[in-house]
Amino acid sequence: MRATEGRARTGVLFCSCRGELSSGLDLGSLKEYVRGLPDVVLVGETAVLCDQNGQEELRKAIADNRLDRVVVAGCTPRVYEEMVGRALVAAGLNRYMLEMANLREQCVWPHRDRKRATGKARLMLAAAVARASMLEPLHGGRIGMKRAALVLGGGVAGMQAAIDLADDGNEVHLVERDGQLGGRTWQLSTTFPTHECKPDGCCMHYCRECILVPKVEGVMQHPRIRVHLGSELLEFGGVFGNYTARIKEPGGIKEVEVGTVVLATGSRLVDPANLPEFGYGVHKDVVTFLDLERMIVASRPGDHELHRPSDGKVPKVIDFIQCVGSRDETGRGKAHCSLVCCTYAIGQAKELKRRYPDAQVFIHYIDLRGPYRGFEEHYREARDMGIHFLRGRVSEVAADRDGLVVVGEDIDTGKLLRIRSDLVVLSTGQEAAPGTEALSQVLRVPLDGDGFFRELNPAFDLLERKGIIAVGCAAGPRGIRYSVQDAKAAAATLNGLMRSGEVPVPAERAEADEQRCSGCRQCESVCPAGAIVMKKVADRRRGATRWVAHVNPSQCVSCGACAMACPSKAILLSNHKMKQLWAQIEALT
Amino acid sequence: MTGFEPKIVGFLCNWCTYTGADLAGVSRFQYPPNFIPIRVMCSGAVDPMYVVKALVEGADGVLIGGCNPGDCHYQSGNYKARRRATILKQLLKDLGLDERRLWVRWISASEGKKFAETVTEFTEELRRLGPSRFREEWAL
Ligand SMILES: Cc1cc2nc3c(=O)[nH]c(=O)nc-3n(C[C@H](O)[C@H](O)[C@H](O)COP(=O)(O)OP(=O)(O)OC[C@H]3O[C@@H](n4cnc5c(N)ncnc54)[C@H](O)[C@@H]3O)c2cc1C
Ligand code: SF4
Ligand code: SF4
Ligand code: FES
Repeated sequence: MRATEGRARTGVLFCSCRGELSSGLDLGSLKEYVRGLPDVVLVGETAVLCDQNGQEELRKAIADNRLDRVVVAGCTPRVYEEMVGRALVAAGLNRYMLEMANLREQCVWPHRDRKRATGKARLMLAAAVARASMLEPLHGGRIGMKRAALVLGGGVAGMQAAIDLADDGNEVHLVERDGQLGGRTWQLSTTFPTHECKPDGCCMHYCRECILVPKVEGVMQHPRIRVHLGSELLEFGGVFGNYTARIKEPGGIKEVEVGTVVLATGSRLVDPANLPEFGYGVHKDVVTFLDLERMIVASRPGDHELHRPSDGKVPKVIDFIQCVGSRDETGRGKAHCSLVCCTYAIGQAKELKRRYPDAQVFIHYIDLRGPYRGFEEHYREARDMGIHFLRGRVSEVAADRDGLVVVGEDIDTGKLLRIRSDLVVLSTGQEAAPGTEALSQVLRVPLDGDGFFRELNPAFDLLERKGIIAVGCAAGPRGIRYSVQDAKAAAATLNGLMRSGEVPVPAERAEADEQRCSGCRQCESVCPAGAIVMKKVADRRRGATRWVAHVNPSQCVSCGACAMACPSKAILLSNHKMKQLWAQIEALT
Repeated sequence: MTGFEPKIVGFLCNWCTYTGADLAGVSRFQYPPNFIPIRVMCSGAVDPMYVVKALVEGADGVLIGGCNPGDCHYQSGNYKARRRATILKQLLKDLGLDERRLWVRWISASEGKKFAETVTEFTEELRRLGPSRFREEWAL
């Protein structure tokens, strides 16, 4: 079945990995064994493959022995494949004429029994050599791309991305669902931790004043940014580099063509009505911290007094309850921490304490989380002002004739709490913005376990392959500064891509064989990337035309679902051909 | 059945279980060397023919390892794999194979320990079941 007819010239290079491999395996006998395998013309060993010397040795081995493919027996391809591949290219081989037998991570390290590990290594090597014999050179490519970007969401993150992209010479379409730019930050009259506002190094970059106002103007006045307010993405198609987006605007539907996309749709607050024990929506004086924000803002131009919703009385006892709907294990809220709520609630508590030094302000928390520089000072200042921090869960906000009662515990004293309260403020957590799931389907991008858009990750290049990057709270809760930094990083990545004017087309992708394809469209229905389109070809035998599957090379993410689904075995992954898997299995068993 | 060492072929998703297996190694979690990995792009790319082929060729057990539900790098490959495996198990049963010889498990890139435990359990189960006679029965 191994039909290579001696064509292949395989070199097997053992990397002893500074003794890691030789310590747990009988390398001598393995080398002897490999020498006897089909197509193997060279068996070598190097001390360290992953440095310059090692790669030079590999290059030399390839040249001296006229190798046309290489098996490296050493570490995991997940990390080292790219690097070793480059050495192949330097030696004039195709980067894909490489197979790695992962003897370190998946044989030596998890198996202490030297004899049995050596036995397993033989099988792994046999499979690797067999697969190597079946390898074929693969070629990627490049296709032209539009120098234009679509930015969804006009909060701090979306605006920053739009500015950076446009400054680099790209056309930008900024689509904002609301009637105005600014997003969540616009709703917050103060943000934290803003401590020691001086531009000489103490500035923490969190202030709405510095961060937001100039940005809105920067966006509105930019010659290359087109702002679509009150608008939403309707449809999205095409391929990476040449996408078509249909935008629903107040005046109708507009179609734009873009090369890349930034997702900056932010988050929304968990609805506290899902957690009935806090009495939100039942008791008027139970509010969220955004409601309180609105109350504070409303009070500023008036008498500067905070009036509680039920009777307009100025509250004298105020209870903040943290982690409402966050870090929830009951399934009614979200499991994650929403990151900004502790910071923000402390900020609001300070504002109230400043206005009403006699008021009693309590913050009920599980543990305080403020993963930001400046948070520590922010918190200490609050404590020094006399704000009471109580550790423990609040079990219920009850009400009787005299008003609200906060029932909970104070873990530090072990006491049960019953606090008669004038105003209860819920620090509600964040979840994915409404419409996130629908967007993920329209754009065919994945969500993470918490329902947010998945962040770019160098180990998982799916999103980079699509030129679609999620930034700011669309990728999970984070503060203003980090949302802005995200946007800058994403814009830099996309700018680099668009500046080149070309999209890389991966070499590892599905390929359809027109002859074998019956046109059943099974592949089209399972492809998660929408990479398969049916096209008409002439059928010479029957003198007519017929439909066959065609893979859009720049869009395929090489998942192999089509190959799996195709009843005619007409579509295959270029790097996981049936014959390669077959050879591996036969060698193993 | 003393001394019988089963042979397990594993089709491991590149993004999760294969990386989880790497992590098991990096963390030096030990598991029996009865398991031999084959890296695939996604559990949804594992053709039932590969599984049948491995079993006919003499594997005593086959493990398909993919990402946790909701975590597939390609969104739904693992759901496809699960659906297919259910049908495949029924078929294999009809062909006379004990369905306990095919395991489908979701193991993420961070679950090195779970990977090691899974392989250990599977090996023990196969030791109990004894050698597969599928190869002799279906040798053509
Ligand atoms: C109560 C609260 C207090 C906070 N306090 C602080 C703080 O003190 N300090 C701090 O640093 N950070 C704070 N944050 C976090 C801060 O608000 C965020 O970091 C920041 O707003 C994130 O910006 P963004 O652009 O990612 O998202 P957002 O500001 O949420 O903007 C998203 C925008 O996208 C739009 N949009 C949504 N879906 C679509 C769609 N499908 N199509 C088009 N447009 C869409 C929305 O209308 C919105 O304008 C707080 C957050 C909350 C909830
Ligand atoms: S390999 Fe996956 S992404 Fe590529 S065409 Fe096939 S189903 Fe679509
Ligand atoms: S599944 Fe196979 S036969 Fe059917 S359309 Fe796709 S490539 Fe053609
Ligand atoms: S990518 Fe891991 S199962 Fe699909």
